[in-house]
This record gives sequence, structure tokens and C-alpha cells, in this order.
Amino acid sequence: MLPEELEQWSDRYAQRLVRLAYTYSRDWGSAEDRVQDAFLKAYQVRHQYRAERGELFSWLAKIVINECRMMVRRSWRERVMDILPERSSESTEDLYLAHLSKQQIYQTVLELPEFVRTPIVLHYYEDLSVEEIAQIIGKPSGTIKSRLWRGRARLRQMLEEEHAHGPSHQTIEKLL
Amino acid sequence: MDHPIRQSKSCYEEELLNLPVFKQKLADRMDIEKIERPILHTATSLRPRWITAVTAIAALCLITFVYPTVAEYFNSFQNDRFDPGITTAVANGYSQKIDQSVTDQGITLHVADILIDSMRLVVSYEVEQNGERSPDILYGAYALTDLDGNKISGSSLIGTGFDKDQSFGYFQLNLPSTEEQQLLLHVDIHKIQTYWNPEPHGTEHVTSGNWNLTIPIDLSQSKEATRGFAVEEDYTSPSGDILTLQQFTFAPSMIRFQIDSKNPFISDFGYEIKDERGDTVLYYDPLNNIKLWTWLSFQSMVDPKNQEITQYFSNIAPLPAGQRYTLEINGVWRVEPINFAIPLDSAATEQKPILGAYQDSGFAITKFEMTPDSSDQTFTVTVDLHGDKLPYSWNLAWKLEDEHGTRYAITYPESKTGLPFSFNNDRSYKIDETLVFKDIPSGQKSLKLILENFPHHEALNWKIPFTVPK
Repeated sequence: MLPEELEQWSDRYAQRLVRLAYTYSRDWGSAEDRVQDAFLKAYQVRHQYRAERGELFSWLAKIVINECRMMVRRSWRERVMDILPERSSESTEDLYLAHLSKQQIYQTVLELPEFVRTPIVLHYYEDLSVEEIAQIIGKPSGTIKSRLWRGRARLRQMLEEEHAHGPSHQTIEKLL
Repeated sequence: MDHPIRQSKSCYEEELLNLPVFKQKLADRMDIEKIERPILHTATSLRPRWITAVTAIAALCLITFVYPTVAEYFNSFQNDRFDPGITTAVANGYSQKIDQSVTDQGITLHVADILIDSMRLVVSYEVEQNGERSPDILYGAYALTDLDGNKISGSSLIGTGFDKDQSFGYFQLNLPSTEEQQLLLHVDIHKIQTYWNPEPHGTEHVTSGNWNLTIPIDLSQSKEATRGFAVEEDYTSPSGDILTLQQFTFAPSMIRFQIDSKNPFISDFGYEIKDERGDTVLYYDPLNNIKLWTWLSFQSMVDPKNQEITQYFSNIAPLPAGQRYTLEINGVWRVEPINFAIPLDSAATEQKPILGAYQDSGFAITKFEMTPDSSDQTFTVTVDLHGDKLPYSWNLAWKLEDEHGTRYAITYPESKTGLPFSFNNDRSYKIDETLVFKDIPSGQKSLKLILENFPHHEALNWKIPFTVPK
């Protein structure tokens, strides 16, 4: 049986946090594991949470993101990474995105680099404000706005490339 | 009207968490990991603010003026999911300060230190450019040699990691068995990718250049602390495979057990380690809860009887010295060759997906397209495939076969295999793949999609007691 706090956290936030963790791991089982790791860690230091500093969800999300970032790739069989395009688009992307399917957009969001993907997910999927995201990620609001802008531009660029040339993922040799 | 990205939120919310199962697993982990309600000391809550401020300033000074080391980083990290073997070995003095830097194209690659275990190396590094430091991604090659420059073969990269908040990354190398006490690690980086975007208007990009370092490795201390114990115990699986647990090796940052088998298709073992009371201190299930840092490696060789065998090395975090445990191997995963064919028919695919089933797994081909190249001599074949009820998260080996029986491999990077995948409630998994086959000769009348391998699980009940040496 869970302690009351963990019971409440699970009921109120587990679903949202596992979805957030999924954007890192791309594996639902791993995402659940990361959130559980975060819950157990947060439970042991829950006295450090201060309501006046922000919502509990934001505090937990910060710990979940940290757990996801700390996840080291263990498998010696792992293979590919995406190369990041060198140019960034400055065109208005909203009109372009409106013509694409939701699934296309979602799958491509998952492939964005983490530093722009997480603000995009927290803003558009979790409906958090720029200030709340800034608190979670630990960056100024101006930085978050910049990353949201860059994320949308990158999203459009990746979708354009997929549309024009087919799947654009490239295998990069890793440190062998 | 909602922004287009927000409209895709329904896809983000599609997957539903099984909350009762999640909470039960969390409760089980609390029991196993003995998570306790923290005791709130009055002294802590009344801690003077000035002490906190001094600590913060001291930490800031550390970041500003000193390259962080593996030792400092891992000593401060308490999460046992993050390889406590490294933490243990660092605390016991097995990290070696390197402090080497090389600069090219205005970018400095700095190696701070190395954790030296007799069976692995963990190298910490930072990349500095434009006055900022970050764990940028390195592309290149490495080589291990003896002091005379003779190559030591058999090492492999077993993991990489980075922590933006700490600004450095690290990579791990599996060390082969060698008589040498002194080695040289040659690191040759030809490309650095800025992964963490410098703010506010930086650009992420890849820089080509040459960053070469030669790092001396002194294995003597860790070798002296490494002990191997022969077991040589055979176990016959229900299907008739003979598995031999050859030995346990206890090194500063890890414990390794070696299982030999004539079957080269083993991909993983499931196991638990129990203490003398019968409590589980570690369990590993490739599909499920991974309790502690583990990984599997293998190598093929010929045994003294001139038979080809495969040696499987399972590596886990250290356990307390002097304690007795039982290794319980409860299952083995094999990815074995099969020859499962799905005929491809573009006209039929336009009407409805082509379905196929292998054992309990189902496959649906939703797209089959043949695109001629500019010369009309060859085609590119694209297949969109959905797989469900797959028993193991292992990339499946797909080929295209023409009417003459000639098989063609999928083309990377165009093919997207195994991604994304997700789990069903019963822990079977599903995938959506796009397979691309290039340079298929024109004039094909019929093509088949062939699956050449498939994972199988076999339950085992094999218990081996062992004692961690003092």
C-alpha cells in the first residue's frame, strides 16, 4: 500500500508525467520507470517542496525531466541518432503546420532535440505558461520563449524535409 | 482556433496509463528498495540561510574555475539507478586525473579524468566553445594500444551519457582481457555536434575538425583488486541447450558472471540475486523492471575441444564484500533465425492492409510502394509496417526477396525500424516501421517481405550460490 502522498501524486499527476517522460524515452515502460524513480526520489525529499515557489506538478515535472536526462543509454546494441539540421527556418510555420495531420506533427515533435522539445511539450500539450516552464527547466522566461520559437521553426523544417525527401533520419557514426 | 501543435495533443494523450498497475509497481518498489519516510530534523528546517548561501557560492566557484571530474560528479550522486558501480569505484580511489585538452576550430575538448576498472573505462569530458561548456556529442573513433603502439582489440563502446546541469558528458568502454598493465587510449574526434543550444541566439550545428588525445591508462591498481572465481557448472535448459556458468569476476566497479553456450542466438538472460535471507537485492528482466545497472556483452570463440562457443558476460553493480548471495537465472531470450514471408501486392495494399501472423504476433503492411529511379533500371521499395504482440524489444531482421530468391537488405538511414514502439498492457510490444529497400532491379513480378529472425523466451530455474570476496 502506498503512503498517502504517493497515492495522491499517482492519482493526480502520474498520467501526465509518464506522457512527458515518454517524449524522452519513446518507450512507455521506460517512461513509467522514470516517473516511478522520480516519485520515489521526490517522496524522500518532499520536505524540500515549497508551495510558494510553484505548483507541485511543476516540481515533480522538474524531477522527472532530470531523471530522463540522467538516463544513460545502456544497450551496447543501440544504433541511431538524428543529425540536427544546420539551418533554421524563419518562415511563418503556423500556416504550414495547419495542413498536416496531427499524427505527423506529434511524431515529429517527439523527434525534436530535447532542449526545444520539452518546452514545446510542456506548453502545447501540458498547457503550462512560459513562466511555469521556466521554473521547471530552470531557465529565464526569455530563454523559454526563444526555445518555443526555435522549436516551432525546427518542427516545420523537419516536416518539410520529410515531405520533400522522405524520412530524413541519418545514421551518424557514434564514438565507436 | 487552436495552434496546430496543440491540435496534435490528442496524439500525445492517446496512450493511457494503467494506474492501478503503476501504483502497485510503485508500492512493490517501496518494499524492495525499503524507501522510508524521511525524518525531518528540526536542525535542518532551521538551517541558517547564510549557510545555504555559502554552499551555493562555493558550488558556483567550483563550476566557474574547475573542470568537474567523474570523481566529483559521481561522488555527489546518490541514485542507485545511475550505476552505483561507478560511484563505488570512485569512492575507493579508482579514478585517475587526466586533465588533457585539445583545441581546434575554436572548440576545446577537455578530458577531466577516467575511472579505471579492469573491465571498463569511464571517461569524463567537456566541450568548451564561445565561453560556454556543454556535454556536446562526439563523433570519431578510439583505439587501445600498449605502450609500443600495438593495438589491443576487443573493446567496445558500452554507453554514453551527459548531464546538461553539470555540463559534462562521459563515455564507457568495455575493456578486453589483457596481460598489459599500462595502456594508451587514443581518442580521435573528427566531428562535434552541439546538442545543448547556447542561449539566447546560438545555433546548433556540427563542426568538423580534429581533436586527438592520447591518454595513459594504468590498470595495475584495478587489476590487483580484481578477483576471478571459477564455477564451471552446467545447466541444461528444457529445450536442451547446455549453459555453463564459467566464473564470477569481482572488479572495483562491477561483478561479472560468464555463461558459455554453443547457442549463438542468446540475446539476454533474466535473473535475480538474493541474499541469505532470501530477499531480492537485484533483479533483471529485459522487458521489465531493471533494478540496477546491468548490461550484457558477448564474444565468440573456440573452446579447448575445438567447438565454437559464445561467451555471454552479464555485468552488474558491486555487492557488499563478504556477503553470500544466490544468483537465480530464471529465463533466457533467444533471437533465432526463421523464414517468415509476407507476399507484397501494391494493388491489394491500396484497398486494405496486408496481414500476416507469426506465432502470436501480428503484422500489417499499410503501404507498399515501388518508386523508379531516374534511369528506370532500379526501384526503391518502401514498406510501412505495423507489428503487434511482439514478445521482445529486439529489432527484427527484415529482407526483401524477389521471384528469383535474391534477398535485399533494408537501407539505412532511410529505413526507420523499431521506432516508435510502445507496450501493450500485457508487456508485449508493438512497432511501426518504414522499411526502405534501394536499388531493387526493375522488372520484378513478385516480391515478398521476409522476416529472418524472431525472439523466443524460455523459462529457466538455475540457482548458483556465491560469496563476494573481502
